[in-house]
Amino acid sequence: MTTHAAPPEILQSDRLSSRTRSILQARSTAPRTPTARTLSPTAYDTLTALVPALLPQDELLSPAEVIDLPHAIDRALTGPRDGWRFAELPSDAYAWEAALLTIAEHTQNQFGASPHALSPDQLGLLLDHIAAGQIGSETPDRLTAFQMQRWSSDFRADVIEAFLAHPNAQQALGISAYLNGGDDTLTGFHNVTPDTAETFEPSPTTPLTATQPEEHSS
Amino acid sequence: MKTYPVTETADVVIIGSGAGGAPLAARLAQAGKRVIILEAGPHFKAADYTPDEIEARELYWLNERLSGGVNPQAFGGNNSGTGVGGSLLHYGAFMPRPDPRDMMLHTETGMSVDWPFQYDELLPYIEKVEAFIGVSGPKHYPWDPTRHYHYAPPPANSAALKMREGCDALGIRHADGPTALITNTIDQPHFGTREACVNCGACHQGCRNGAKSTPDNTWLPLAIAHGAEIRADCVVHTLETDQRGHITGVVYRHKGRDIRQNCDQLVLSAGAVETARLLLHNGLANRSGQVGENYMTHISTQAWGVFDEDLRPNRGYPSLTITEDMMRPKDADFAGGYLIQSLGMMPVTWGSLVARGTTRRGPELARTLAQYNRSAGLGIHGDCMPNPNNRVVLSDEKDALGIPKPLITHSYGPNELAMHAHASKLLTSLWQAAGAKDIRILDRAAHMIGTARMGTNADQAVVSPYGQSFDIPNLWISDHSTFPSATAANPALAIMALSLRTADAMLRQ
Repeated sequence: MTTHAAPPEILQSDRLSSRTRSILQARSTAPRTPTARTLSPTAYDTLTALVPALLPQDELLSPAEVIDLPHAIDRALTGPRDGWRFAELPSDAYAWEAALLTIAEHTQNQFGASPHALSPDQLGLLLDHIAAGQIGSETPDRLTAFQMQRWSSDFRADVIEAFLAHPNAQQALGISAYLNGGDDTLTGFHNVTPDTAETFEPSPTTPLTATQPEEHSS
Repeated sequence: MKTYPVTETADVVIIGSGAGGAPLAARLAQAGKRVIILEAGPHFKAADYTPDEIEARELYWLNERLSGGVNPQAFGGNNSGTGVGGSLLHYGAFMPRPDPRDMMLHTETGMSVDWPFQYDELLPYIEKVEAFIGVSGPKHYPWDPTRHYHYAPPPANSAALKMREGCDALGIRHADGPTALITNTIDQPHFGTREACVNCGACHQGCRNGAKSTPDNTWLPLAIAHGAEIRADCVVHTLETDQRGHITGVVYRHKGRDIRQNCDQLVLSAGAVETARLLLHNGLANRSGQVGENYMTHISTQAWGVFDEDLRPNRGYPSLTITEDMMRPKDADFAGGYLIQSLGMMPVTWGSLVARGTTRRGPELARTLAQYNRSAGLGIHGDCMPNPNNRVVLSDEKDALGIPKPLITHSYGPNELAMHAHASKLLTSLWQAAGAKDIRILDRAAHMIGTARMGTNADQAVVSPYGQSFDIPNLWISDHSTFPSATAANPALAIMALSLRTADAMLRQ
């Protein structure tokens, strides 16, 4: 992530309030330091291996647009959270540290390697097994399989929320949600029915939006 | 705004400025009572709200809760707010009336419990609330031709139109749902201009132009005009009593200082978790042992699908189309029923549901997220029964003020599971009929109800049918804590109607 894309066009829209614009700008220019603020180096390293296995951003964004999601998640762990946590888990920052170290130990025991040495398929299966409550540890400062299952839901939510909250993702997916009005007038949307996008609304730039996934459910 | 010295004993102190506290504050102030409202959260300026869903969490109650049980509930959005105006600052403004049958479900089915009075008793208050705050709805409401809404509905968005298609195909009636927003600009007495809804879609992130009917643009200006004082950023932690056990006042934390405010009457309007937590922490009003018990939610199963068109689910009022045809389905294997509404949604909120409601990962997850603009949803609100396993208790952990954090246990019982299964099947059929692909069912619960039930028997209920504590005569509860059962309707309307009813009862004493 050494290249930098041009700022997403939606940041220039006169439909953004100045407060919303500065929120999005701050998010899009978050300093990209390699060090973690909340998590330990080992936990952070594990996080950077897991995030692409859950959400391969290269399917949706150009290389220059890829968002540093581990960085965003690590920073958010020390800020205000969402007001609740699973009763079976310790506080968020502690739970994330313990969960990621549990995973690092698991891959060391199972594969004799750090998570980064695993293939995308192996990492994907690892995530499935965590979600199914099959991976955990009974040692102190680690999470049990049941706790890991609960944490898996938090992990998925934080990654996906950090992605969709970023202007690069909103631009690529053609999302107009935050373009609902500038400072003087809440303009909202005149057109609200299918196939009536207005000129100020972004069009998706990722080819995936044009295709339909296979029919199935999960 | 009039202010009172803290050394003066108020006639009434109200804890919480949302749907439970605000209507009552206005009524009591209008009757000449010296009213002080203590609000834990800040005073937001509507013009400063942002649709950015992460930052808009400032409207949520962020003091941490522990969520347990088989169906642990996500708090914050859709149930727990903060700030002057309470949870209605971020509510979705969907405002159906309770079904009269839901208040007598035990008589009807032998299950759940009856409310201690019937719908007819609540109806005049419901009509007063709707007329005062501004509720839009259709000219003809198929399930209740007698009712009248004061504003025309906002335009149907993509999800609302898709739900109409599905309902038409399956022979299910549908209508524009009642929504607590105004569709023409008005001058709200004691507040000022409230503009017509502009279909911005960010109701849950705070309404920037006053179209959404909230306490801070309706009840609270009325209360202030009649001499009520609102104190923001005041977190009550201690309820004080005299030798008789009557309330003498409260102590709250404001900017790091503890301040005592004495009062003749105290009203708890802090919501089903915080009201119970305050009573449990202070060891008050619990001779029945019912404080914190019978925590309930709404079964809020959703179905999402992907359509061929560009739907842009962020645009327009999110949940306009309603059907009440499933309030008593013919093929039901459960008691009670559920409402169905169409669902648009903001992207991060939608993504969070994809995260927690599916196990998709890798390229499949990327494809799912890429379909945001083609997505539309359906959601239900289903009745939920009191269950002795579901409750709010004090945990072993303390918050920054030294008060134990609440632990909420929530699991569906057999009736809730049967309703969820019924709805999952029907929502899938509706979306198939409308042409949706990649249909996903999300198992979730919303809202919070119960924990200080009202009733006629002091051994089995915390408060009387008017919200007065059986144990402490100058303590009242005015919020959804008192609901004996959930009913299928979103709770805000009933909370406000009950609030006016409790105010009348207080004035009679």
